[in-house]
Amino acid sequence: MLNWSLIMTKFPRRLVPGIVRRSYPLKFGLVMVLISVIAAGGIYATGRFAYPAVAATLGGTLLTGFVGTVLSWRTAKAVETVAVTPDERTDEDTPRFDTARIDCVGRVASAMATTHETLHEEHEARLVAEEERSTLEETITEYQRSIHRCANGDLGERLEPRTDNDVLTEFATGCNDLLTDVEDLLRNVTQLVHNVDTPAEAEQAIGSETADDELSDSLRSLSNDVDAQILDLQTATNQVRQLVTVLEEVTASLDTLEQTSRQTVTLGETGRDAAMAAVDEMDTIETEAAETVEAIENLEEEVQQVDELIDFIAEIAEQTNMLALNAHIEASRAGKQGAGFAAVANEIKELAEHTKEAADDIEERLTRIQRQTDQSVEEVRETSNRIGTQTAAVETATDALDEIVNSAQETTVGVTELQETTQKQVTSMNDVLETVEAAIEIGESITDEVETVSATIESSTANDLRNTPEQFSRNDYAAQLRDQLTEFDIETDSPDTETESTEDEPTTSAEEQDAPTASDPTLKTPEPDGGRQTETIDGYEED
Amino acid sequence: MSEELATTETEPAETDDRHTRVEFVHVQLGDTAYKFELGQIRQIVRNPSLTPVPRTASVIAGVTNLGSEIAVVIEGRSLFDMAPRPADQDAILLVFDRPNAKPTGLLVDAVPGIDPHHIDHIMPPTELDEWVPQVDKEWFKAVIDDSDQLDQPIGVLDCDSVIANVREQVSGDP
Repeated sequence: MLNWSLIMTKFPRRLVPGIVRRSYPLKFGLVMVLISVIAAGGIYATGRFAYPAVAATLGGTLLTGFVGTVLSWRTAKAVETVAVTPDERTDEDTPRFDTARIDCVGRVASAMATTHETLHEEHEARLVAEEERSTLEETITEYQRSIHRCANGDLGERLEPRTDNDVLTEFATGCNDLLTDVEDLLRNVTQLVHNVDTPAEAEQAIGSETADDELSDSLRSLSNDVDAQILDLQTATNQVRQLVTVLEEVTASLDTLEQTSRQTVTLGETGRDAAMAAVDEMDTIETEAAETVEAIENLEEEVQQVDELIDFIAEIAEQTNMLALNAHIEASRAGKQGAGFAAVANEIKELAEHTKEAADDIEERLTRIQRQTDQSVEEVRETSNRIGTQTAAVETATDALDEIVNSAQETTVGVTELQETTQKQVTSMNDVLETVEAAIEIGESITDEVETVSATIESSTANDLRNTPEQFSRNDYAAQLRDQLTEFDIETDSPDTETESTEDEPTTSAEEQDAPTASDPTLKTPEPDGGRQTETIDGYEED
Repeated sequence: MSEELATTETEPAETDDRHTRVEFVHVQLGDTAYKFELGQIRQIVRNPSLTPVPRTASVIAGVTNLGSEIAVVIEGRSLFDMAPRPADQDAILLVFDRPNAKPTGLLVDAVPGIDPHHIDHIMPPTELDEWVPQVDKEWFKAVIDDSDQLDQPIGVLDCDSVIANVREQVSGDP
């Protein structure tokens, strides 16, 4: 039964050309023409054929069809205008949904304008976010390369602060401060190593009468300088740790962003599935509405036939009334013998009048039924049109949700890459931190050894001191430290600059200020060819 | 047996009714009602097929075939100077019963029925002064003033007077 009804429903669509099925006004007009032809044929089939009646029926139906076609054409044109408007976006024009209509077409246009505005704002926000993400990624990649170059020993490298991002600006400034401190520290350590490791200075110190005292003072000053450098390294370590903390917070934010992006993907997919299900339901409702319209139209035809029968009954009643009147006249002409016949004629006349009244009442009721049926058909058609419009709108929303899902997936991929980059930066910063901590340990070892050597010098002669194992130990430590420092590309300034840098270091007492220090020219002034000291540590290795 | 008794009981009343009541054909022309004596009407025909007669006055609607004879049809609306009848409205033909005369009929708008009136409510047209018809009182044979059945007095047209006035209009119409 169901298959039979489906075949009957689908069968006419195969016969109707596509140009007719796509244009509702054309379809409506052709249906009205068909109805007019059927109505005219029906009148012809009743056997009471009359040209005026056929012409009036045909003309009235055609006029009704023309008016209905014009109205449906206007409505379809308005709906198509609203439906075509979003395509203007592809031409980089601003679509306009405003319309003077206040009916369902106007409300649909208003709803589509609101939806389009929301999607457009989300699209703009997504473009801005992608641009910021791209800029952030490029900047972080650039910072990563700079930090790698620093880790490889090029301490002259600096991060360029970005004024458009506070976090990156703070990050770059902190890194630059850290690198400056590390560079100053390593420069001072290099100077100390050079002072300790220069044989000429040792010979000069040993050859003098006060060599022991001067050596002790020099070692004490060296110990103080190393302590100061340890403090600087610890400060740098704290800054690096703060930087690592900031990066870990960035990583956590990226985790949250990734989760949000994944939730957006999930929600978008759920919304898209729901919209597609809604489209399917609307298609089903539209089909059922078409079937309902067809059933109501069949009912309308039946009512029309009943109406014609009622007209026929009313006509018979009228003729019966005439017959009763004539019978009454004939009975009166018969005189007394026709009295009974006159009474029967009166009864027939009253019966005919009752029949006509009943026929008129039935016709009036049928007219009301026809009016209500026409209204129902119109409402169902209007509902069907609305469903069609809403289906198109939901399909557009489905496409938009699909684009949102794709964009969110791309965002997720970008955030994941950003997470990996940030994690690499954290690893690099941890490596820098380990390096600085290793430098701190070395400095502490130097301090311990210097204190030990100073104590030994105070209790032995200069010659013994020069041949003691501690001397060799000190030279070994200096060589070890120098080897480690060669890993860094420190741009040492001119001797004047070195002096200024050393003079900036705090002195703890007047004795230390009077005593020769690491910044004392007698200890640190290089040989005439020691101008190369302004070069890198590698230059000392060449010496 | 009971039916015979009933017939015996009702027969004097029916006889009295026939002697004291007169039946009239009630006709309608526009908003005006007229009556004809039942004995002056021979036949009533609904929507007769009319054949126009050229070169006749507008009061003559044409002729119609009544089966065995041809009757002249008078248009009532034209006779009483009323607006023409709408095309979609029925027309009823009253065929006058005039022995030894040419069959003649009058087209009216409707015939609601045949009504009996007591003879006490029937009087000559000149006796009822408050009754003012649209045409001269000579057209009427009597007037019925029956407040029990009628809202206002209704004149009883005389078919001979009607035909005589038609002849006057035809002869006076160029």
